[in-house]
Amino acid sequence: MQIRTWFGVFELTGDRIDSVELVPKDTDLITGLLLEEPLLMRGKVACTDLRDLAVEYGFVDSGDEYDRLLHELNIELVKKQMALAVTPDRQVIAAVEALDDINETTNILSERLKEWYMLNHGETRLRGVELANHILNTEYACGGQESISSFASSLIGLYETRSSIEKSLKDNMEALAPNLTNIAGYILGARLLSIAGSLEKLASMPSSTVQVLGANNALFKHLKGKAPSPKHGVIFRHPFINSAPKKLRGKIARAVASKISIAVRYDCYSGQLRKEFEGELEAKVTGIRKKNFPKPGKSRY
Amino acid sequence: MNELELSGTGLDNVFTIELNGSKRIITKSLVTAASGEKIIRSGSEEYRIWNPFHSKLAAILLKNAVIPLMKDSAVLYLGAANGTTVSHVSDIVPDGTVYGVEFSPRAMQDLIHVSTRRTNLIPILADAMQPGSYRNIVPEVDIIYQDVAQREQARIAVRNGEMFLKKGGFLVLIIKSRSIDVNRKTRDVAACEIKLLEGYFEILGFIDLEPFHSGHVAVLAKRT
Ligand SMILES: C[S@@+](CC[C@H](N)C(=O)[O-])C[C@H]1O[C@@H](n2cnc3c(N)ncnc32)[C@H](O)[C@@H]1O
Repeated sequence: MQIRTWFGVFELTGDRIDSVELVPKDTDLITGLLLEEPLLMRGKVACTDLRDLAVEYGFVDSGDEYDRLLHELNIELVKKQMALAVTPDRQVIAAVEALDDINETTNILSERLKEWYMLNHGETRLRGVELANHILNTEYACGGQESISSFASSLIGLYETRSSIEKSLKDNMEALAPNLTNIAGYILGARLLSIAGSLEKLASMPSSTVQVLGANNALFKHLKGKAPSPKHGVIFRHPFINSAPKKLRGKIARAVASKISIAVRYDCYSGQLRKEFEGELEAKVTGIRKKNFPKPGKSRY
Repeated sequence: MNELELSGTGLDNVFTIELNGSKRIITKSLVTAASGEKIIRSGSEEYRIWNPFHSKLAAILLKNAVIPLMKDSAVLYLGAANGTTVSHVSDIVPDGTVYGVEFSPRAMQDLIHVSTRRTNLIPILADAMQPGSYRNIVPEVDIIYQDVAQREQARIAVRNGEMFLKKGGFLVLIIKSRSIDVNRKTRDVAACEIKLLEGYFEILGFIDLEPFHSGHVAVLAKRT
């Protein structure tokens, strides 16, 4: 009979140990094995406690070392299990929420920088990152103005952080939800995931719910208390919708939401990119626009 | 610092003390307290104050229940949460082991911190409803302490008891009445849960945790 323990594999005949193959004393390796197989970590083999066997066969020098190692191993095991539990959708949700915070912050700081600059230099049409760069490039720093240039370089740092988050968000969204990203774009897609809570939750929502996601302050928890709740769902930031004539937006939103729902279900349950979704949605939206605004001259009379 | 007057409680490493006119329960620190913890020193020893409003076990002990925790006990703790109570159990059993099962990754984050400094505390990320998933880690234990605040509490106790509790071993089961049936009174729910335990455990009694934890009852039982 074979008994597989966390520090070695025992071959037994009845209660007699024939051989032991010890595992290397490497926490990382052993926790890796434990993730795959529930190796025995307590109790007896051949009527002898594992702790005593580990000493007897030279895996450890003492019972104390055994206890310490076993303790450390359990903690490492739990840490690994937790790392595995950090799913890709939780990553993109954290990233898009961080982006929202950074956007809000850079807006406030840009305004402040501009006011500060105008105090000494009068009107300027530069703003944001351009103004910050201008300040740094014109050696504005000389003459006791270190504070404003340090402020400007912090702002530039934030813009750089934002680009790097955006870039990784884009990559992660394309890997996690290619169809959603294709239809909604990676920012709007990630935002929908953030409001829904997870890919699976978004996939299980009816498209009528997807259409209004974010319209309700309670749902849009991230911005709660920071901004007035949007009247429409976040989906209204989709270019097909916000570029449409006002009276068509509801209709188009329904079409977009319905395609997003289908796209997310593919992402959640199949993972295959269905390129044709994009064209189908475009055709649908064009149809809606045509039907409601026929070419002038034809339908008037 | 002068010697304080500690009174024994019948449990190793657990004492009560008069502090500003009120009775406090404390455990002798197994490891030096983390920053932010409320401690008192007496002689060369450090003791951690145990808040009965935050910990149901402290409340149970203040109500003079007898729980056979020995300094070398093996304890299976189900619903270890962020480790508040678990850390005191670890103080009580310096020569034993506490196996803390918790399924919420968020809570486990904190529990890992508590465990890292305490070699007698083993954190386990698992669902207590599936005791088979930690069967390779947990040996036969002397005591099961369960505080999971969810439905099916009795079933969890029975499954874990059968798998891990030695004959004659002790069960402390915290029943949160609201998490089973909002409409029934605490006592009724407890009585009903107790029925489910019969056949596996001999019920020794139950303790109402008012005023420390309203809506909670502790069931004390022994494995038959
Ligand atoms: C009321 S809290 C426990 C408080 C803790 N005993 C203390 O006094 O510090 C309940 C805990 O049980 C956990 N829990 C609930 N159901 C569980 C299950 N089936 N398996 C493991 N843990 C569970 C919850 O995540 C929560 O952290």
